[in-house]
Amino acid sequence: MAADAGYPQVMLRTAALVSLLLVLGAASFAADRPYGVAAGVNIGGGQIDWRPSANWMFEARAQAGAENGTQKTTSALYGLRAYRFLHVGRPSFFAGMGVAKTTAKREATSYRADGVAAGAFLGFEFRLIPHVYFLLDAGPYVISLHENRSSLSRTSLDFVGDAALVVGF
Amino acid sequence: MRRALFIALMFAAATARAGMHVGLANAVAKESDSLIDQAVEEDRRAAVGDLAAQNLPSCGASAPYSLLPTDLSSVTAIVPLGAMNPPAHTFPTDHIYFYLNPLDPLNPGGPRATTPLFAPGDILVTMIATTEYLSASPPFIDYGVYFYGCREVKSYYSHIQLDPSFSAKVGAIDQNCTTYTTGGSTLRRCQESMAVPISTGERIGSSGAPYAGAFDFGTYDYRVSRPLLVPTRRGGDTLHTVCPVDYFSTQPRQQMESLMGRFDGGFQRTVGPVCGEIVFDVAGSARGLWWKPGAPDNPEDPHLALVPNNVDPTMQNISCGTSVAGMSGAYAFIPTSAGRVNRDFAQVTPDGNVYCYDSFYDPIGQPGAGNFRILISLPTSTTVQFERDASSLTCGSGPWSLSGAAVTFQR
Repeated sequence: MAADAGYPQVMLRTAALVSLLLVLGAASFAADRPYGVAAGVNIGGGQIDWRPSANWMFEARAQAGAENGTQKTTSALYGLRAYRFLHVGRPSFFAGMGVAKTTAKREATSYRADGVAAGAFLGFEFRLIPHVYFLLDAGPYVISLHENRSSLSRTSLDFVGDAALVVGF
Repeated sequence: MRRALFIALMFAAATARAGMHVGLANAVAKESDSLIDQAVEEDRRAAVGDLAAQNLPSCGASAPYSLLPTDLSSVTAIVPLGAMNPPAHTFPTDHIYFYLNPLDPLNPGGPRATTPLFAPGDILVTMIATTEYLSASPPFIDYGVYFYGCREVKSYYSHIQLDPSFSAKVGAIDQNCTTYTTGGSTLRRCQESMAVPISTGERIGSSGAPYAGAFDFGTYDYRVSRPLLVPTRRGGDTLHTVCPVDYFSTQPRQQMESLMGRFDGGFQRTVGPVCGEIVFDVAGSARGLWWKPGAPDNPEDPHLALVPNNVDPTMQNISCGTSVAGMSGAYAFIPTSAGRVNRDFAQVTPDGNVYCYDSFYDPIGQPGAGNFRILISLPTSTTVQFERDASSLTCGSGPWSLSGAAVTFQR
């Protein structure tokens, strides 16, 4: 992970834009059939999904975020998720687990916090138009961070909601 | 579709109500921000030395000091900035001296009174240095106390002894030690960074018998940069030298200004700025600071200063360190504005001429100092040739020529 979180943010936003174009483009001509692979945008980033069966889906995702405190702190993460579809329909409901490697940096300083986040979530998937799906989920995440200069650490439990728009191929 | 929208809306409402984070990366950013805030605060509290001063309020226009550093009735005179005492202080000094009263008025060269020193304002002590005079018999230690009155103004007292209560606050000073030689003496200096707040008037220490006849008081204002011709060669805090007295409120400032002059109180400086000056360089002339090629910039011992006298700036000083045999010292003369004898250094240029200097005064203003005359020439605007000529005490009418004994200095 790069020390400067600004660069990943640019990359992630670019990836998100490309994904959005893919979503719109694919939606316009793709045939309506259950997807095996999907790509899309989520909150602050992008993701690629692989659905080997109707009940299981695996995902790689990247996201960027920010907190505007006294000084801006930017974050970036790369993570994996596993989905188990409990009910397949319109909508489909799922449960899942995720893990991500995170980094955050206080702008214009050398303060940086690295860590991991892991959690579980419940959510649903809804097909908006043929091959374009909207996913919404929420759940508890344990976020464990280590600040590099001071060696301070903290672990917290946060409830996180997430959303994605994907197109299946 | 409606069902999905309903669920999405309910989800969003629940998220907002539960204080959930939207997006894991935003949750990470928020938690990281909080952790980094904690780290910043910890660093701020742990800061020592100059770094700790960054937590102080900015200086602004008001004077940070309001209390005299010592009882002025114990002080004979305050020597302005720019004093020279080669070889350790070949260049004009960046501090003023508080000379203390002699214990025996009939013996002005004897031991001086001991006087307490106080915090001149609410200060943050950021460093204490010890100097052990290993060549003295017996060796002894004195202290330098560095403090900030506000974020950008750092001051120090040196050649003092610490008060026991102050010493208990700051602890032992036995780290970061180096041994060096200057002025023919071997010294061991240790220093310790800290962040110890001290209130106005709190006793810091004392100066005087048996270790010192005077103490130094210096101030640097980091908002100020002095226009030295070769700033990198003096370097460090000297570039920010200001007069400490100027950072006091009106009454103590005026009291101290009235004492500015020669160390024995025999001559009061009246030419402004009465607190003296350290920057005298005039490009393309002999006036200013000169360095012996090949010698390190610091200490000042091997170098040369051709600058105005700090007590009577109508006079000029030849302050020579150790590079010219037989004349380490400061020699004052009355400059002229024409001819080539005792010509004002600012008017000595690379014109191919040799200039002669004679009729020197000693530090207490007595004529007859030096059993030589001095010859100076500038081959280039950044090179001076300097010769002690013992063949005569006076210059006569010239012309003069440099011999192979002339020493070259540069800047």
